[in-house]
Amino acid sequence: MKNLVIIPAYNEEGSIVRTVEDLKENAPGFDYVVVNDCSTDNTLELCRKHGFSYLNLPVNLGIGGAVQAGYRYGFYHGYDTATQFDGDGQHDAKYLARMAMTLESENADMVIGSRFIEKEGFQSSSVRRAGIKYFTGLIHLLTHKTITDPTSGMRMCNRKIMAEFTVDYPRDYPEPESVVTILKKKYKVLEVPVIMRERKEGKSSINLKAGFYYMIKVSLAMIIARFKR
Amino acid sequence: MSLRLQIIVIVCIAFLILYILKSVSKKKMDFKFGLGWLLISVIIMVFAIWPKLLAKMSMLLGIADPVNMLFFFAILLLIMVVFSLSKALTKEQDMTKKLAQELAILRKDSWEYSNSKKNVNNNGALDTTIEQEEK
Repeated sequence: MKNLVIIPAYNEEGSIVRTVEDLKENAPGFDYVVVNDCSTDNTLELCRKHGFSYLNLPVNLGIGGAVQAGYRYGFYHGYDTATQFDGDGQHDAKYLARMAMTLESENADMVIGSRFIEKEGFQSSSVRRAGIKYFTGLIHLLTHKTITDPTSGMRMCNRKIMAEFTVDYPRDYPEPESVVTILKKKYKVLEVPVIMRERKEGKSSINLKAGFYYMIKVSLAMIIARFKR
Repeated sequence: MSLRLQIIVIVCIAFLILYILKSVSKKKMDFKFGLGWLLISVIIMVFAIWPKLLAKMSMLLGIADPVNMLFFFAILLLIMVVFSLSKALTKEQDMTKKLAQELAILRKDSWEYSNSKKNVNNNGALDTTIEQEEK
């Protein structure tokens, strides 16, 4: 099994080194690639200095385009699994082995790391939790499947999904929308409980002001994804 | 429509047609866009030469004032143009995105390949050179 971890990074100089070191130490058997999305800080220099494996995008593509670059890389290089993993220190590398085990033993196409199964660790603010609950409900309405953490950025998938994502991946706020697309195509999606940390550096890409736009945009995108042929 | 206005419009449209043809021949505009603009110019030209045609058409469509019909179709046309531009822009964005991803992967692969071949130890040397050339 060849496993790849994709770390999208936009201005993550405060946490990128820690994230990669955590991966190297706690996730043996996983290759990784940092996708530098035209950071304006020292993210790229740090990757060079530490000899990290990285992709350097020539133009800023946003989170969707950066992650897709990683899936494309994994697909071209014959990886069996690819895992999205945030570069801001929220995710814990020790869960990757369990996710890979679930993917293989349950014959799943995608495994999502969920904060809300065992409800441990950082649970996000109540406003965000309400938003996530709403997405869970909408996904259930559209696909009759329950995904407790549809916005989770910690997701492992097999080659079939990698191929799908290489062809088509949403440009921004990709997680909930792509889950609907995958479920609609009858792929098997499972969740594994994980504990996430509160981010130490950087800010979430979604603040309260953008939240309203985010909810409407993602809702519509999910509905369109459900009825897309 | 006064004769003076008619002449002004006809002359303007004639210049516009010449300008479109020049842009197309100099490859500053794709022929498929040029064709659309030429068609629009010719239609305006026809109305400038035979203004009565305009009045007849608006009567046929039940629009009281010919000018209102003109405005209606002009706005409709502009909406269509803007809509098609949004679609064209999205297509361009998708192509740029794919190219950027392919380029990033190719750079990494070529860097690793040249490193494995020459076994040089200057980390990121090739990458830095490429970026300096860009600037």
